[in-house]
Amino acid sequence: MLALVLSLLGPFVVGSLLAWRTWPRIGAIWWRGTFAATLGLGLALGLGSGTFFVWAACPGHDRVAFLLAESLFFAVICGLILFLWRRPTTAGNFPSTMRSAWSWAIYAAFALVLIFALTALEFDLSRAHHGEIDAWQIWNLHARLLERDSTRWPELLARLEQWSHPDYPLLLPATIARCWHVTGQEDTLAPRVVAFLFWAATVGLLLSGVALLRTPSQGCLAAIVLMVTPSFLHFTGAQYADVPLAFYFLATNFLLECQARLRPNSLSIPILAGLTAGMAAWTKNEGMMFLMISLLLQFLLAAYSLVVKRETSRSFLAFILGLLPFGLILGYFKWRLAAPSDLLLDQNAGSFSSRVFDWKRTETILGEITVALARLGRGALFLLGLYGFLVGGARGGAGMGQYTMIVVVLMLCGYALVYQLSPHNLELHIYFSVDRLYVQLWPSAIMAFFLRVAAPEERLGHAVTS
Amino acid sequence: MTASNAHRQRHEGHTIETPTPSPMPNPSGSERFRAFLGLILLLSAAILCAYVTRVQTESHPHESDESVARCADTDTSRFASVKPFLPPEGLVGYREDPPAASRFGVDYRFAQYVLTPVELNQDATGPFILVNGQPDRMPEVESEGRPVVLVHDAGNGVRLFRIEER
Repeated sequence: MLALVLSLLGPFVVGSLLAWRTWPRIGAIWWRGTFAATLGLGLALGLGSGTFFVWAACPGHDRVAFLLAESLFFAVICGLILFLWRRPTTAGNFPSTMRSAWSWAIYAAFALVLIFALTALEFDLSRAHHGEIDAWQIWNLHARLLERDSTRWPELLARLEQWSHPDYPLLLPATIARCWHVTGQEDTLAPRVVAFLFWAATVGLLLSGVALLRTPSQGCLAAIVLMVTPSFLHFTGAQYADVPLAFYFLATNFLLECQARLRPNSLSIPILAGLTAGMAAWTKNEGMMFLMISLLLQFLLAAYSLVVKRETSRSFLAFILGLLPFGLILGYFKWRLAAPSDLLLDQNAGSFSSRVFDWKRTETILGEITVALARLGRGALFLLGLYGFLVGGARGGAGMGQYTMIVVVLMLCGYALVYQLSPHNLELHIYFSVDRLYVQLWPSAIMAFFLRVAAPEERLGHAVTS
Repeated sequence: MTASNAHRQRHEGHTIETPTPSPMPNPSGSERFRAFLGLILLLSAAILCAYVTRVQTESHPHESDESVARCADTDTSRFASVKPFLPPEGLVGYREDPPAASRFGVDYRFAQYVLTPVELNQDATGPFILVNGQPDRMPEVESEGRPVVLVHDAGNGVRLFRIEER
């Protein structure tokens, strides 16, 4: 376990330093620290996968040489961050310093829910060491290939049968394989620890992000809703890549929300958002759709600034700059190594157009995804709707969470389109994937909701500034 | 952000726009009551849901104990003794005895996961055939009349055969 923790130390220092210096000095240091640690954790896992993939794709695979080269690389990156990465500054007073007389109840509920969630996760992760079927037949199998045959893995990966999805990007397998490579021991602990770390990073980022942009109680409420979502816990215990993907979606959306709210002249936030969007695309194919949507929206925002406000927006270019490292890695993987996607096999113009205009399919899709939406988090949407109605919208918070909501809606439309064009049995395809798709978007949707609704401090009074 | 609730500040060479806190009007009695109700509802539902999820995780796990134990056994011991006999490169034929109901059954996939980077293939006809069967039943390996040699018998139903050239 100690070796595993040490193996993640290097990228964690880089990731948390990057996150720490990206956030302006606003909010309590505790929340800023939590933000830097949790965003840094997700960045660390992504960065580690990137370095390992590049190493694995190059000739020569000596373990000690990898450790030295990677350490040197991370040391250089740390130096660059310290000297070149500019922290946006602000003297604005954010409402995150407010507390209400009811805060203690929310904190107590948060602690209780956290204990329940951790014990449930501990049970799941310590029981099924290999995870559920998709974990071992896709992610952990690819990780074993990367680790066990350092020279032939590209051809072996491409030759895997379709049930193993050899076209899936390698963030999660490369992260796990890197842990094995660094510790020198292939075990089932690494994938379980990685699954747990992504869960913790997602909860922590949602908690601290909403706490920083709104109030600590609001952050706790958002984290509570996420932690009690059974499917979010289940897919973490199952070691599926949907939770890591949800983390990168959340990180990107949060950073772009911050960019819209803080509008700093420093480009560190959009660069980091580009990096996390690139990591999302390097996690799963759905991440590529997310990347396209984020790119499109950033482009439209930049064009709007240019045409309407006559201001040049450099943030779009910064976003592109940020996504370059993982965009290049993904491009190389898809172009040179990956097998074609199962969704494109046996597709031709005739079958394609017949599916596009098949209204019966559309009806089925809308029906199934609506039922699954109602089922999400044991009817959490109804509860949140009622809560939003009772508490009302945030005062002076116009625009908060809007960007993320647009992304979530566009992603849902994209998923529906993929179902519409799917060559597989439609009912089965939806049945086996729709819950996972919702889990990917759920943390971002919760963030958008809690940025939008009033914080308890605003409605219950007794607001004090600490 | 509008000009009324934003101000610009120069600091360390960067221009930043930050929201300034607008004075918060006191909530009315009805607003307080509704918010109180909403908060109680949300927190109690969340705690209940967390508790139920915790209990259900143990009482109704997603995978049965039998399935979990089988996976653990297959990974650590079932194929352990046959691994040194498998060829480092090339396809290895894979058969189940009795044959699996589905061509892409879970056992086949899990065997591939355990034995990777060895490439298992259900269509490969030799020279090596790995049979995942039962210890007390010797399987029949189709060889189109070519001699079949038992390379290794793990004793647990896993057997490796080699089909010789004529």
